[in-house]
Order: sequence, then C-alpha cells, then structure tokens
Amino acid sequence: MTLATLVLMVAPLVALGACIVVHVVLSRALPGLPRPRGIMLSVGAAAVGVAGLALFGPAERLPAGLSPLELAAVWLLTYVLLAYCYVIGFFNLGESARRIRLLIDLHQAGRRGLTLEEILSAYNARMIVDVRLQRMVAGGQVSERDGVYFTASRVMLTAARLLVWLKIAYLGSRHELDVRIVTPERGPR
Amino acid sequence: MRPIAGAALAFALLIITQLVVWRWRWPGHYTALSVLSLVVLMLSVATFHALQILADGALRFLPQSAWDYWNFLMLYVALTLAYMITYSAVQADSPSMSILLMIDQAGGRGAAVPELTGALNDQVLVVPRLTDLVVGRLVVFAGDRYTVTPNGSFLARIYIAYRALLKMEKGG
Repeated sequence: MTLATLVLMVAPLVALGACIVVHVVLSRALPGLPRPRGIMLSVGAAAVGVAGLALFGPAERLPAGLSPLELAAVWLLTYVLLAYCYVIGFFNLGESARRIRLLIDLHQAGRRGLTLEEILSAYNARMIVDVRLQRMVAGGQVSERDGVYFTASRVMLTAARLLVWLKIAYLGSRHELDVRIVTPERGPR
Repeated sequence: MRPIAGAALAFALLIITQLVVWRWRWPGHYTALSVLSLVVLMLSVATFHALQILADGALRFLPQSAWDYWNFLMLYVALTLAYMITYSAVQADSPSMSILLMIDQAGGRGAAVPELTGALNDQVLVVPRLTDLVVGRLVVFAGDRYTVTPNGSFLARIYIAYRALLKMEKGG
C-alpha cells in the first residue's frame, strides 16, 4: 500500500485538515470577513476538493467496490459531518461557549483564582444576552424596534423548538435546571 | 451506498438504545454516550457480518468488503461525533435559543432586554456553567474562590492559541 493510497483512504480527514487551513488563512488575511462567510467558504472549498477527488481523482488506486459517484457521496457526507464537528464543536466553542470563556478568564487570573463576584464583574448574564441579541439582529433572526425585540426568521426558531422537543424526549424536561443531577460538593448553585 | 446504509442503520440503533436507556436512567456525563456508541458499533459490525454470511452476501445494502467496512467506520464515527456535539446542546440550555423562544412567546408585543435578563440572569446563565467546570475537574472551588486546575489551564491555552491563530478576540 503506497502513501498515496493511504491518503486517499482518509480523504475526508485530509479534507477537514484543508478546511481548517483555509479557515485560518482566510481569518488572518481578511479580518473584516463576516465569520459565518469565512466558515462557509472554508467548508465549501474543501467539499469541492473531496468531491472532485472522488469523481475525477485516482480512485483506481483504491479497492474496488464503489463507483466514483458512490465514493463521492460517502466521502462528502463523512467530510461534512467532520466539518460540522470542527465548526460547532471547536470553533463555535471558542466563539460563544460560556464554559470556555470562564475557563480562559480563570486561567488568566492564575493561581489566585477569582471569586464569583469578580467573575461576574467581567462576564455576566447581561453581557451574554446583549452579545447574543447583537448577533441575532446581525444574522436576521430577530429585529429590534425601540429597544423591543421581535422574531424575524423562523429557521432558528424552528431549531430552538426542535431542541426543546429533544430535551423532553431525552431528559423528560424542557429546561436543563429542572434535570441537573450532578452538582459539586461545594460551590454555589 | 452500502457504507451509508450501514452507518444509517447503526446510528438509528444508537438513537433508539440511547432514548430507552436515558429515559430509564440518565447518566449525566458524556462517557456513557461514548461507551454506548462503541457498543453499538461492535454490535452492528457483528450483525452485518452475520447477516451477510446467512444470506450468502445477497444483502446488497449492507457493507460487504473490508473497504465497505472502512468507509462505514469513518462515516459512523463522524456521525456519532456530530451527534454528541449536538447532544451537548440538548443537555445545556443555549442562551440564544432561550432568548429566541422568549421573544417568540412574547408574540406581537415583543420582548425588551429587562424582560429577557429578568429570566436569564447570572444564576441561570453563568453559575451552572461554573458548576460544570467544577464537576469536570477543570476548576476547583475552595474558600470563596474558583481556581483553574492544570487540565483546565491546558484547555484554556489551546483556545487562547487557536483564537490568536485566527486573529480573533476572546469569545463568549
């Protein structure tokens, strides 16, 4: 088995690597580019690459059994799922996850640590709500008139309703605080 | 399409098993879902292989060759990882989703910031996430102070370096 065959066998992973590289290059080269657009361009560029490789690449190097079209479907689906993991599970965590933000604040505070009051003075519910409202207005999900917010798009609202339905299906409750069973021995609730 | 059909069947089995197990006893941590996905993977491979032997390879929609199984494995792992990431959104209430639902519930009169922050306060949005960090042993709470553990520092450094690589400021 040659190196080229090995690389072809993990083509969706190689495409994910390419997507991350394109994302980093775009983010650094074009800092003014809206973040969702940067993500779409990076994911799309690598998707075209992996589909092209399956359809027109040296697929004869691989064990027989799948047509180029079938190979393209399998690789593309695998790659899109991996790209989703990168965007939602890694990039978006750094972008909007409260846990990561709190962890970075505590890391920067060093061994002295922070009290709850100190944490909340730098990062609190008001800031979280404000930032999300700004993002949703910019993204067209909500509209604002005289300080009052209204639903503007049904797409994200449908996703929110789906999440509620999944919560009820899995956890038997609409809200996380109703079902939390793991709590630290010490620490405020 | 054999790898896709195989991965779809295995994934459906994972979802059904999880729904049944979780409603019976909610484990409250991610390790259980990882273990369950691994068990379902092994069970699926064994079942597909046994079915192909019984049917003398006539089941054309299920993986047959080693190459089929390799593609099936990659697709199943990607599908499971994507699902686990989505599942974390099910466990923790997303502020954006909560805000959207509140605005929608307000209907034609809309919702103002004080109304939103009245319900989505520090005890709802910040303190549970601090608790998660303590439970995950990324942070310790001693006296009245939260301090990051070596594991927590490691994770924080990864994100600081990644955000610097992207030339982006601190998120949240």
